[in-house]
Amino acid sequence: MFMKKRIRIPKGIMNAKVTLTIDKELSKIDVKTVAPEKLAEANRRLERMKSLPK
Amino acid sequence: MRHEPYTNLRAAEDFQVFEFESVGGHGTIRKRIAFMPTKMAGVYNLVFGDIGENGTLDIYATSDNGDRNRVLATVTKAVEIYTSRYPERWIYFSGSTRERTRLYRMAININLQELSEKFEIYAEVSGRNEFQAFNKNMPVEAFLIRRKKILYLCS
Repeated sequence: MFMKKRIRIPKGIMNAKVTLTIDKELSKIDVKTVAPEKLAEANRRLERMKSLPK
Repeated sequence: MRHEPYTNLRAAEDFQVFEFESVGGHGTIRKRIAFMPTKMAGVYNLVFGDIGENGTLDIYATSDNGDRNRVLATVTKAVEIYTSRYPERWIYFSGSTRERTRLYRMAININLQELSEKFEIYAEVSGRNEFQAFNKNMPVEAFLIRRKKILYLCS
């Protein structure tokens, strides 16, 4: 005798399945040079902050 | 997130750079996500945008490809993958414009329950020199997130 079982499939991005391929070409990118002006802005802003949250 | 991310992601071996393709009304547009180390130890600046013809990142591009929410869901998925490898790292980000920062705030608001299950979410607020725990109505200048620590209780 089989019992019907309702299975709840969790929705949401955290449960979304993606295919991740490691690309060695991307490993050659110097990440600091990707958006230097944005990084400089982040450093400026972070300098003003006293500390990270505990 | 109520929108499905793009399912094909490529990443550098150390996960500092991700790429995917946005497919929409204006064709296929290559997108890049990067986590750049900042001067503050343990804090990484998240940036993303379109890849230009010369291979550089354009964070100001408005591709208008009709898949904004899907792109944001994909960036969120990349953050999830990145922080699963580096759970101790803080991710700092803001939009390239005030409007985009407001858009990110709205996207976080809509998905706050799901995101809060996995991430600690803080905000940088104008005139304050300490990060504030994020709440829905604050005027956010930038965001700071980190993977929540999971405590395992053993009996």
